[in-house]
Amino acid sequence: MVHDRRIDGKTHIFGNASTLYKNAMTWYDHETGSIWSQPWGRALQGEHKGVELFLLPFQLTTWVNWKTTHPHTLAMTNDWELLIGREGFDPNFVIGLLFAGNNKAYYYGEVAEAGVVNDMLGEFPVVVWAKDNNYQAYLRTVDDLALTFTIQGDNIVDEETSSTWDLSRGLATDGLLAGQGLQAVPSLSAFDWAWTDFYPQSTFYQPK
Amino acid sequence: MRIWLLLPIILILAACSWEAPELPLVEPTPKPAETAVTTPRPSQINPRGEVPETVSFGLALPKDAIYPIYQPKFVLAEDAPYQEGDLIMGVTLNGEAKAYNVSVLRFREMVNDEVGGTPVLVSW
Repeated sequence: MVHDRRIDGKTHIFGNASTLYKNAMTWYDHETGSIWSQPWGRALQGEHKGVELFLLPFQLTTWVNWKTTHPHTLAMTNDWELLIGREGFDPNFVIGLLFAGNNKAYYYGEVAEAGVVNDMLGEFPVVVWAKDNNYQAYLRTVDDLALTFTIQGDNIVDEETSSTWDLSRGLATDGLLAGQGLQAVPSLSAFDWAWTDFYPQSTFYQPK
Repeated sequence: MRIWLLLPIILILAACSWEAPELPLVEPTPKPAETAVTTPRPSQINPRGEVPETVSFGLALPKDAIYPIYQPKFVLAEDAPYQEGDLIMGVTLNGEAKAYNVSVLRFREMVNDEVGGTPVLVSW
């Protein structure tokens, strides 16, 4: 997960609190020593109790996919010499969307099979895309127009304007909306049981 | 009424996550504190979980027993020692993109970093 480290405009430094809450990681902030829950991004104890950090979108994918879509990317090298095993892409997880008080989970495998899923997250139209060890979720609105994405051969187009989209980047590459971008929705990847521990009220997407 | 409350989040997310993949790499420009995100606190609009009155934790090891990355180091993509199939977390903010190899995140768990001028905590 990726969170903004600012609280009321002040940047905080976070360390590992080295204990578990609901079987998941906790942090402490160096400034106040408050204890935070990682999956909630929210302080459980201390001066910041109840404060929630802004959740930011990220992409979980393979290095080849990322550097192809982001050729100017930097790559972190800390502890590279200590690395023993290598983590690959395991498709057995849910994509958990978290946006504006709404949450919903999508099995990666089901989204990858469908290619693209047009859905509602509360009152917000969203699209979830998955392909070749890569996934993304976006708000599927441009201005006030809700788009419906569909697969046409090798391309993904929207039914409303027939524009072609690259959903690995959320960009329209051809057609009326060429150059238009979609707003990414923050998400996390988790095993379904772990997701349900933290978001027990979450619904799960059901393929039709 | 609801959309009013959500507006700051939407605006902030819109400002933060717009990506321009074709731009050349630029040095992040840290924003002065005055322009940083301020109130309202997200917890008041968008709580992701209810924090109980008292919280009990499991057995605690010393803080930073798994030592977080406080000073991340980076190389350009062409110099990265990563293999093509390596799982990574990719973050892009304000035109800057950074990749964190999940194999390293697995044993360090946390990275205090800055992407596109935004201070971020990457956690696994």
